[in-house]
Amino acid sequence: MSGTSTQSETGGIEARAELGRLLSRYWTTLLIVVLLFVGWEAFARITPRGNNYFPTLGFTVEQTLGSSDLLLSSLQSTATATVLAFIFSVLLGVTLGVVFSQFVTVREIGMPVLIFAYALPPVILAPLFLIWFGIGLNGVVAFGTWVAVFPVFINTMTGMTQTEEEFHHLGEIYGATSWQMLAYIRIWKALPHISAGTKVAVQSSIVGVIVGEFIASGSGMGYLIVLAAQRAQLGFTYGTILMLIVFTVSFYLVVTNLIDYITPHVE
Amino acid sequence: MSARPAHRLRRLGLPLVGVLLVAGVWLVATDVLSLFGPTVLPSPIKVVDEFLRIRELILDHVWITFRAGLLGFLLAIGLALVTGMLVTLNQRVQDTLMPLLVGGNTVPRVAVAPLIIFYIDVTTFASLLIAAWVAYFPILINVIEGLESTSKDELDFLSVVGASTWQEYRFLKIPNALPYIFDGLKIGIITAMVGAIVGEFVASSEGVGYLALLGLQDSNVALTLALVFLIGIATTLIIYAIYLLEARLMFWQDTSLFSE
Repeated sequence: MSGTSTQSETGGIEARAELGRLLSRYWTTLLIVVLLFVGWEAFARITPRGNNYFPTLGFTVEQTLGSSDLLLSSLQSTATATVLAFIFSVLLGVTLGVVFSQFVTVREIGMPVLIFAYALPPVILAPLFLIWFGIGLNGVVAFGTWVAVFPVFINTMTGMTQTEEEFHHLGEIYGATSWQMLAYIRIWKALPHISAGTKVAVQSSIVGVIVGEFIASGSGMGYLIVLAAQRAQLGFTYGTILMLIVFTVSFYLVVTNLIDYITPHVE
Repeated sequence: MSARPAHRLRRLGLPLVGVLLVAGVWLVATDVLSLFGPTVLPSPIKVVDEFLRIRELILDHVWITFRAGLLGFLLAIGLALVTGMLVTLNQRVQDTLMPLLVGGNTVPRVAVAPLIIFYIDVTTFASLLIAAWVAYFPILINVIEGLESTSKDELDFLSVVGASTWQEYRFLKIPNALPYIFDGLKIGIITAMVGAIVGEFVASSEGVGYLALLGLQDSNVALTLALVFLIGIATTLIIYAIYLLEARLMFWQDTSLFSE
């Protein structure tokens, strides 16, 4: 009994010490964040054009809570589209990256198309994806996938070139086929790059989904932001954007923790 | 010696094959086999026809978007270089701001586009500001990372010879940061164009985004595709110019068309 209580006590002390370390490192950051909100509130109170021009914090919370049903259902459809687009982009990006790095001819033939597709600002394709896949969840997911696939693809390809000379020689000595080289050596060297690309894909898939919702008009937080701004419900606009930021950060934390959990740790 | 020309032919030939392959498959699938209706995928000839039919209108709108994206990009570069240097001057300032800047780079900044349009009535200026706003963060993060990439030994050496802070930046930190900055620029120009186009999607009566939305409403895929190619070519050319500049400025280092 007493043993467990001391254990939890030391755990508590350690947690408090950890919290103290974080606070001493980041208290100025926290201060800036608080100052930003204070500045927001002060500006909102000073501006003569009122809450429908620049809302106070209280008004933002109030107006957002007033439409919380709408906000939650929009969050749900945006989250669904984002998660689907993210998963598709990772699967597709890794597959394409592996194929491109395995076949030199494919890489050389595909290079001009690849460079063009990479340099193309992805959002210009949004109307096209909505025509092809429909103005709804399908179109938005397909477009989100397109926006997010490139970071994964390029990073996978880069990662595949990171194998050191020694490992190539090792593979040659054992007479490994190119697929064995891939499965036992190259893919492992590429993993850090793939996981970096995957983290970027989190943000890209959200950008793709939001832009898709901007113009697909019907559902989702992108639609809500445009609608609320047009109706001059600025409190609701700010509330929705803040909610979107919370969703982005949570999704990012889930994905990065998942990646850290499943990838092997190398010192 | 004889292997050289063959190798060069292969290097130039295969990418050309790639372009021809795409165009050929597209042409055969649409004009010969009629696999797709004109509202799904029109033939490349139709796309060119559509462009030629209303080329002046299209080029006007492309120019408006291109200008907003490029000016926004330049504004973002200027701001990112200045703030990047200020932030790295002091370790405490950098530690304080870094979580916010990384956070700002992670959140979907295009979501704020409708707000910027709400506050800025002049639409071309709003597009420019949205472009600068979305391009600023990736460039800034790369500038800071680059300025921080200097090793302690090199810094120690400069302090031994009594270099001033400005000389530290001028002769060590900035040259060291160049590869990072150029990578940031390659991402930055794409994001700036994204910002300009999204601004036109949300509320505008001009620019490529506006025209592409009209294409969506009329199911005019030929028009939308023509815009895709024009904007793609314009952005590719700028990235190529950045790449050439990079290769020129950093002759001692291998450079890549892609940024990671």
